[in-house]
Amino acid sequence: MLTIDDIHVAVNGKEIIKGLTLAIRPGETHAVMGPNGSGKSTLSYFLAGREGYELTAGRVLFRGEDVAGLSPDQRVARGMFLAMQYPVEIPGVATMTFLRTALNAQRRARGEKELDASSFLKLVRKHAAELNISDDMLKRPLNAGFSGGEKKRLEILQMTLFAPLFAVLDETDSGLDIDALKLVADGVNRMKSPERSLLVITHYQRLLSHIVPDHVHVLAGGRIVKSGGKELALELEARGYDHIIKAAA
Amino acid sequence: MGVALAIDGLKAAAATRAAIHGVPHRRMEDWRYSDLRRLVPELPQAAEALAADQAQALVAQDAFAGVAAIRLVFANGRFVPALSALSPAPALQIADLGQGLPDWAVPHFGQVKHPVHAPMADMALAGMMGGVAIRISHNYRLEAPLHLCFVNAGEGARHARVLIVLETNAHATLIESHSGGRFCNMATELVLGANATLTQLRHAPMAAGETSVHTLSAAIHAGAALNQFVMAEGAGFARHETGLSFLGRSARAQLSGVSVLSGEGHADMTTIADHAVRQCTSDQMFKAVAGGKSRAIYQGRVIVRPGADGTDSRQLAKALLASPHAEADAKPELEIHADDVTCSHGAAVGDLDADALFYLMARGIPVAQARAMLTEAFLAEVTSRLPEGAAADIIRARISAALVDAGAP
Ligand SMILES: Nc1ncnc2c1ncn2[C@@H]1O[C@H](COP(=O)(O)OP(=O)(O)OP(=O)(O)O)[C@@H](O)[C@H]1O
Ligand SMILES: [Mg+2]
Repeated sequence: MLTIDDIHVAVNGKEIIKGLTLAIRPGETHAVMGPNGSGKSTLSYFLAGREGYELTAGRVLFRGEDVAGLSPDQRVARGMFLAMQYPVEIPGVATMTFLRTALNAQRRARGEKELDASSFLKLVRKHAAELNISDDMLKRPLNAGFSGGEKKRLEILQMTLFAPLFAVLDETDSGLDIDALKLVADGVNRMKSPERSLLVITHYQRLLSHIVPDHVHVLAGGRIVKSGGKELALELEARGYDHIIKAAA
Repeated sequence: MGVALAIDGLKAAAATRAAIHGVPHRRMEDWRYSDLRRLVPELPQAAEALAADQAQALVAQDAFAGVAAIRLVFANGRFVPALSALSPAPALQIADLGQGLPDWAVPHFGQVKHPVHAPMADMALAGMMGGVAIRISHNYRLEAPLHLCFVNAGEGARHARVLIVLETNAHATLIESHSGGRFCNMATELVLGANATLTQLRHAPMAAGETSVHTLSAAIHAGAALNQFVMAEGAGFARHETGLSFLGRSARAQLSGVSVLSGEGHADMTTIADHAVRQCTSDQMFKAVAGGKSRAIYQGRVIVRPGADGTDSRQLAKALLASPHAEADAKPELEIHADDVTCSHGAAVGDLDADALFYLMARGIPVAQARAMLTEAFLAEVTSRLPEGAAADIIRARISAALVDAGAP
């Protein structure tokens, strides 16, 4: 699905990702954990194709295709998705208009038929109900004044609507209350399939007891310093990063 | 007839005042951003009159041609009664100033104070080629909008004057459209009697090489409200100056504007709100999208005179630069001589928010479409002030179309 081959990524001329290699096969869920500032969000923005995130060495293949020349929207059309750590507030753009514009832009890019207003509405209502997102929230401008948890739920609503083949969830759990965490995790688990892969970035083992990963990686200083199975997350929680980073060095 | 003489006297006095400074230029503080003299060192000769069929054809192409309205047509500065509706109802008086000044207009015409020296309004009176006076009687609500339709073609100058008087508790909507013509100068006097309300929508496109100056002087009495929305677009030069004099308590004015500029377009939104009495509100919001090498200007002065306690004034001017060669200037000014007032002002110039642009693209929206969405979102705050109705819908559509010309996206 996704092959990250020894990449170095610089932001504003400063190297942040320093030789990172990761292979994610269809159906797999990978978790990335790591201290603040270790480069997790940088990796996710880079994968999404954000301008200014410069690949200085290495390459990324998505389903065999080098993504280097692809704009963010082209990556989305091919099935990539990023649920952001800090979703952006855009007053002046209505949430529903945005959702429909985005979904139809993706469909158009893939040569699929656009959804008409009523089938779109039905689809949104169904997924919104699953995530306990109220009509009232959907009537507001995009993310504007949403609470932290509401923003995260809207990210997952988008993920379920867009049904990507590969999604990065950047700290989707932070800001969610206990019930919302369960709702969101259930939503993500419903999406799991043999064709779909996930990269889950989190600081907390709790999310990983709901969304169980096949592999857990520790990112520190811009590279993966240790990989293991789901038990690695428990070990991190018990002993902290310092111990593991030192042991790996 | 004495009333015709009255106009001649006013014209002569205006000509004397206008001659003192001549064409305004950038060394005059109120004209520092708009050097009209550089563009028009000498005022051109009066434009030729348009043939009736040409005027009629231009009216048919007007942006508001399809709007059901009481239409008053000015062709190359001259009022054309044959293409206009005159006094269609007893509560609505419309007088052609070419026929002299009606008695009811005498106390108002040429008498409505502008808070600062308004040289172009003087020139419009001195060189008046056409004019109308409109009166809406007490307690009358005019359902159809009044449409001042200015059609122009060719070289030369047009000078026109309009007086609008809304008596106590009268209500109306005024729509204004302007098209074509090398040099257009129009000045409007507005008197809003107690509790009267006027909604004014102006669409002012200007093509490259065209110059237009609009001066509105409004006298607003107790409890009355003016709700103005001006849309300027194109690659020509426009100055929209509005002077408000609050004359009675609890009067309100909402001034809103959108400029969407391309090429070497220049739109100068200048306002002066003179709060001389208590408890009045002036609420201003101007937004500009400037493409090409255009320049968007907002100059707003709020004067709060001694004793005008309870004044509430808000000024917001924001510009989005859609090209690296475009420019925007905003100069909100406050002169406050009273306590207990609420005055706020803000101005911002910038590009689209990079985080927002990335967010939309990261959801599959291509860059051009994402930019268009964010530009419309930038304008939404002010376009949401447009009222309901066919004319406002046309302005909304014009804004969307003009954004494409401005290169935004
Ligand atoms: N635009 C930028 N310019 C300069 N440095 C940056 C920029 N963006 C990120 N960085 C730096 O890169 C490093 C990695 O940041 P990143 O946001 O990827 O960390 P993270 O692992 O997601 O942290 P957290 O757990 O706090 O979310 C940090 O030191 C950060 O300050
Ligand atoms: Mg982060």
